[in-house]
Amino acid sequence: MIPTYHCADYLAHTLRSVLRQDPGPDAMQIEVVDDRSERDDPERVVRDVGGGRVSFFRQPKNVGHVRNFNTCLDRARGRLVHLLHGDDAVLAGFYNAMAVPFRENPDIGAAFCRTIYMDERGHWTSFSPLLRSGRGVLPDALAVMAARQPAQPPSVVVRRDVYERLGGFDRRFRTCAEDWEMYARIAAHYAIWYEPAALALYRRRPDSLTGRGIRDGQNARDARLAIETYQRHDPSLPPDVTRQARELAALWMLMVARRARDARDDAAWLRQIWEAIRTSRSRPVLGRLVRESAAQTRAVARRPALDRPHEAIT
Amino acid sequence: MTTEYRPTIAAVPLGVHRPRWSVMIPTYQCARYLADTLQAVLCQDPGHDAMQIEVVDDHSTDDPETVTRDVGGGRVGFFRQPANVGHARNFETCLRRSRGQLVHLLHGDDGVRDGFYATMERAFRTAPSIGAAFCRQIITDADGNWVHISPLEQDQSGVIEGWLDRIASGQRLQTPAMVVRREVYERLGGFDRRLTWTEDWEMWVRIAMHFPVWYETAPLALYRVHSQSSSGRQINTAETIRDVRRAIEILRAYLPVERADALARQAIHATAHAAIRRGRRFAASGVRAAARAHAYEAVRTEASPGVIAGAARVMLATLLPTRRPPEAP
Repeated sequence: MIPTYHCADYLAHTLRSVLRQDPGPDAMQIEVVDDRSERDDPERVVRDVGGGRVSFFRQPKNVGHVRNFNTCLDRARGRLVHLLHGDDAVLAGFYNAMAVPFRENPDIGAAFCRTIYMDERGHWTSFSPLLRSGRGVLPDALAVMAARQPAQPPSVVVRRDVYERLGGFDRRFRTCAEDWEMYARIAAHYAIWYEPAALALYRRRPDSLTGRGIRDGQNARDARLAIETYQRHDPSLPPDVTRQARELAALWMLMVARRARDARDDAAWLRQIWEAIRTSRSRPVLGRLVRESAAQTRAVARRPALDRPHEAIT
Repeated sequence: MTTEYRPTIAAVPLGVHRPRWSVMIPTYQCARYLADTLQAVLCQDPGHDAMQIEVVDDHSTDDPETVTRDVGGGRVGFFRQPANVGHARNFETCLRRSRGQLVHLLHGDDGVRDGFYATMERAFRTAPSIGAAFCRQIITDADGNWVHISPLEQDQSGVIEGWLDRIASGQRLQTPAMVVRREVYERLGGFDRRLTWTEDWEMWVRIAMHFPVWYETAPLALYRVHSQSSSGRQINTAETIRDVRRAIEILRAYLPVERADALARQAIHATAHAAIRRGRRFAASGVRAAARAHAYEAVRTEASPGVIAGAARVMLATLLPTRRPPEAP
């Protein structure tokens, strides 16, 4: 299931990466679910590249990405569901490698491989961390999934009956972390399979800094909501797991602050610093926070006078 | 172009069949990885007439011949050095035994991804004047897990701009990523015999002096880092750092006069800082002798205030209790 919203430029690449390993319509449903994109025409791409093999559904009105994901789940008919965003992709061999564990191991609810990060032009930039060498069922899946989001959505395959039992994505999430909460929810109920090969591609787009709740701190509220939600679902979770989750979430906010510093977005920078303190006050967080603040001070001091009107006047 | 240190690579005699490709696979004590390497090549094998595939073993004791026979099934040639000659000399044998127009030196513990040979061949067809072409590299751990990826040199595949200045100021790619026309080796000579670790780097600089070089943005080559690799063994003694200094002196003698000193200075600076970084890692993992050796070599490479301060910190770190247990030998 391929949710899209304003990413038609990348959709051809996404579709081709799937179609190259297409086992045929009897074995695989391929459908683009568009959240009423206005600026581009994903339907034409589906027609041109899919040539009748890929179906297309368009939301009657824009519903936001979380609801669009749930529409994907509703419309999925296969036993295994792969949510592949319309700007991400898979490498050759993804569907084979990810189908095998479900056949051999009826207990697992989800399987994920490592993620390759790419930039907006498709150049690879890095890989998601290696959790362990060798494929297999993750022994401490819940702790792993709760502490951090260990993989991006294109890496994850989930049995449809898992969604039927546990429900769809939580609509309270507005910018991010709905997938993280989902993976933690699945890990609390099912075994999780880990594939250390990097077979899925996740695109990081530069415009992700704007509009994704960076300036008003919605990203941080969503991350904390994910932690609180799975903590409530599973009170047996050891407190050091959630402490670690809050620490890693705060470090992520400081990383976002660093990107805001590079983009000279002072409002976003301040908001992310504040949200990091609210999320965790562990030693690594405070240490990084001090260094980030010093770097921001230096960056502001180095700016040309035109950027600092109060000095330009004097 | 050849000197006493640069072995002559003779042209392939007339009448000998010349395939398009020679995939020459030097091995030394890496038989357990060789099956993966061979399979990666064989699954894109264009056939006997188009590709020579040969393992050239530096007198290993772990029986790469059996692996070659089992996996290669007669398709892959095997040559064994009568005595151990060291990896740079073994490369030389690889070049001599190659018959193809394009030579790919693929260590027996490295690999290629699907599409490597088709993509690199396209580069030589598109730009026939290039002497060599290389692609981005994925660095893997001992188990073959992908760890990181070499930096993107330029945005699009094509002849790489300003390559001489970039490659002369420091090693920036791994051997399995590079494909060289055999003619280039015939004209410029083989790997410099004075070098034991940086012979590939010196060669890439030499090629950059005389030929345009192509860059392919797709990451199609895999480079394995493991403690048994020859680089792994030499790194412990900081011999690698001394070898980089030797290479820099060799380059300085033939780089364009007006740029030679500036480029050598950049290379020296980069080497000293690389030595500090490596020393810091050794100190953190408790391998104190190696940490001190690197601090010492860093200062010998460039006695600047920054390097001296960095080396002092490494020395100090070797006196403190370690946080991590020492690595197993």
